[in-house]
Order: sequence, then C-alpha cells, then structure tokens
Amino acid sequence: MIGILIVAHGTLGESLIQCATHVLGERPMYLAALDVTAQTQSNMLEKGRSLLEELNQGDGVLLLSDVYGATPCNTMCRLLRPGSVEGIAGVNLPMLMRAITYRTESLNSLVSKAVTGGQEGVLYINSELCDATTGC
Amino acid sequence: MLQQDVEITNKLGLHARASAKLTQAAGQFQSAIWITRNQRRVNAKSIMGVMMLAAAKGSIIRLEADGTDENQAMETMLALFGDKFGEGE
Repeated sequence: MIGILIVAHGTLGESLIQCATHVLGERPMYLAALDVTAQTQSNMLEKGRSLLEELNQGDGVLLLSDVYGATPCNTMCRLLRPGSVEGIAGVNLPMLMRAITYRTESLNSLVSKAVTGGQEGVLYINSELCDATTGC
Repeated sequence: MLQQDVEITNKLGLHARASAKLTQAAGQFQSAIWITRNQRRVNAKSIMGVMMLAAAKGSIIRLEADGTDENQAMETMLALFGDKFGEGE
C-alpha cells in the first residue's frame, strides 16, 4: 500500500484527514499530515523525512501539497524521489478521497488518478447541478 | 448480467458516507458493478464517481452487476439501499 503524506499550510492536512475519516468511518492507515506553521518551518524537512520513513511500506509515498510555489510545496519538492516518492500540488478532498481509493495500484497510476480526481472535483455549481443534488 | 432500478429513500441521498459504504460493499465482489443516473454511468467501486452522481432522495438509479458473483453482489447492493445505508431515515 502506498503511503500518503499531506504537506500543507496550517492544519489543512490534518483537517483533510479528519474529513476523509468522517466519510470512510475509520482513519485510513499510512496517511499523515505535515502541518506547516510559523513555528514548525525550521525543521520541516527533517520531520518530512522521518514521516516518509514511517509511511513507506516499500510501495512508495504520494505527497500532496496545497499551493505550488509556497513553503509547504517547496519543502515537498525537496522530499521527492522520482519513482518512489512523487508529489502533487492543489490538494483538495476529492483528490485525497481518490488517492485513498487507488493506493494499491502503482505509484504512477495513483498520481494520475489523484490529479484527475482533484480536477474533476472543481465544479461551478449551476442551478442544474444544485437541483440534481438537492432533489428540488 | 443483472440490472435493476432502485429508488434512493434515505433522507440525505447518496451523500459522502453512504457512497463510501456502497463502494466498500461493491469492492468485495469480483463482478463489475455500475450505477447509472440520468445517463451518467459510474463504477460502483469508485467513491468519487458514486458521490458525484449527486443522487438525492427520490432519485431512481440503475444498478448493474456482471460477473461470477453478480447475484450476491446485486443482493448486497439492494440490501444497502433498502436499509437506507444504516442511517435510519
């Protein structure tokens, strides 16, 4: 099983994990957050490496960050190892849910499924979509 | 291949937790399982696919199961809908 680490600002990572836990009914295994705050910035890389070790079961780790160019994502970039530790920016709940679903596939396939899941989860809710989900 | 139409009767519709229960149940079977609503057909084993059907209470969806354990798969799926996903309302 591929490990997943969310590297994001504030408590976004832990919050996303709690959302996924609420939906799935249990906290998924080998899923962790590296929450980046002003206090934790200095030793983030060290913490990230240690979390990667815990999460890697031999199948690799997928890193999910929030905004490309920001400090959490820059840290994530320094943790990447092509082929075994891959990263995506723009994390959202649809991306995380999809990543959790497909983590027994190959890391390459997981990256592609997570990216499309995240993209397809961003929708303008027009009246048609709104009526469909509320049954009005 | 089996197929059957079913109405969603739980108050919250096919929302996130219900979708998770449904995909977890579907994932136990070898058979391919599909759900169709308004011409949109998704893999019943994919949580985002099921959730984004956005099927509210009162919607009619079509269940399809195709494979060696299709009878048991269809029975399990229908039981989940019939039980309102264990939500009581």
